[in-house]
Amino acid sequence: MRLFFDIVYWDFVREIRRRSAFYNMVLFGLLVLFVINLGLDPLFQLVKARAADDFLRVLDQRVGAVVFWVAVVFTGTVGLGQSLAVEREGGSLTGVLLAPIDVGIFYLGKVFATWAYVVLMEVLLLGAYAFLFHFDRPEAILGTLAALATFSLGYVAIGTIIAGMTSALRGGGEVLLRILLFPLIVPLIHMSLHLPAATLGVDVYAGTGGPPPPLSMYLWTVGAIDVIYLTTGYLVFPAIFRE
Amino acid sequence: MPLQLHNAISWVLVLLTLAAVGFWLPANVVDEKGLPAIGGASYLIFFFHFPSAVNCLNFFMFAGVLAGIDLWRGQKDPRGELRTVAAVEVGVVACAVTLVTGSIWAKAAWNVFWEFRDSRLMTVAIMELTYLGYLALRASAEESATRARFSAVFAVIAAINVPIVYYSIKIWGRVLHPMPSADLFGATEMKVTQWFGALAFLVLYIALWRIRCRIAWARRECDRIDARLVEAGV
Repeated sequence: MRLFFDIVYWDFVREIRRRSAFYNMVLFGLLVLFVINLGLDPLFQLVKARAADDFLRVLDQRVGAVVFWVAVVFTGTVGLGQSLAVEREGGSLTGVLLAPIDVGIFYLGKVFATWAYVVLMEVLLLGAYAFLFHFDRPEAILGTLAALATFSLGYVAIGTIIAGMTSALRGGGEVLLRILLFPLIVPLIHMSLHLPAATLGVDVYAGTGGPPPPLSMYLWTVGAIDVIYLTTGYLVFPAIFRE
Repeated sequence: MPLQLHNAISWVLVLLTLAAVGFWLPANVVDEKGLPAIGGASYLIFFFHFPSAVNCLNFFMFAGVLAGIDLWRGQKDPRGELRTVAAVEVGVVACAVTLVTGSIWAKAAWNVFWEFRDSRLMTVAIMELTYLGYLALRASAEESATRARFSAVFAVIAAINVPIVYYSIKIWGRVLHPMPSADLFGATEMKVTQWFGALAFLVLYIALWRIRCRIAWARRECDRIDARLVEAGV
């Protein structure tokens, strides 16, 4: 247990001190928010000319919530891509693998350290979103944070396994990381977008079916998926480095 | 069972399914109001669409089990890896057949080839993308031992994810398309053809899997002999 907490602490501190990965993530997230909105602007202009202001506001909120989640998902891959690359480049991974420790514990430590700074990045991105999108639903913040934290654990759990493989490939496998990761996390994204508490208090799918699920159902379901991913990762991660 | 006999039996079973679709099933299905339901005669494609859908799930799960066993045994037998890859390849083909036949039916029934908001279409498309990613991962790893390890790990994760994708979208997807209801497909001849087709295609896909395993093994042996000849300076 001590080993686990040591790995989490040192990995998190190192990433925060190194700053480059964290800055890259935040900058990338901001760029995603800006670029997507640049593309959506003509649509809003078109709607503005033909529809009532209320309709435009609802559309703005719904699209904004989806854009936020797109930014979260894309930005997380920047951190994941660099989480094991540092160990590989510095040669410290060989030391870890030669040390008489459980590689599964090393994996769990890595996951929780990456999870901590991915959540930190998401909080900053949420701030940027609130500023840029005239966010006026403060009561939705807690639910969104809870959903983000639960989502991110599964996302990082599966992403660390994929990053462990793709970082060993020629060229760092940055593109392959996204190709392999995104289909796997679709269920998590899908569930998040169906939950108003996770989408900043906006019911993205309003009017297309039954009532939206409650936050507790989301947390239990995604929490269960997180446990499945963490257990799978703990079991298969050592196989990635088996020579 | 000898492979050639297996192959012949599988094609006979598929032809029997085709015969049932052509001569036994009604050409049109009507709803309670007497109007053509689920795209009229186009519903007949369902009897090829459904067997491929069921079997792509079977083969993806089968690949995961094979990969898990291979990892557990320490990947000492190279045939373990080849069997997993062959299972994924057959699953990808079955999934592609499912998507193509589904799109054709969708065009006839709903007047569109693709509907992004449809949860079932999305499920199958995501599975196909996941396993195309598996093939991309194999193509990117240059060293054979690395390729074997990484692809086995990914096959296990992907197989675990298949039921998660399926149930999450089924439970949480609030936009469900009008799938054929039990009333429309409740007739005995339809049920029999549906499940006979699933069995026929299972036998066919297993035959394809065996063929792919043999080809992969033969290719591996050729590469090995080739490498030895190069070493010997021939």
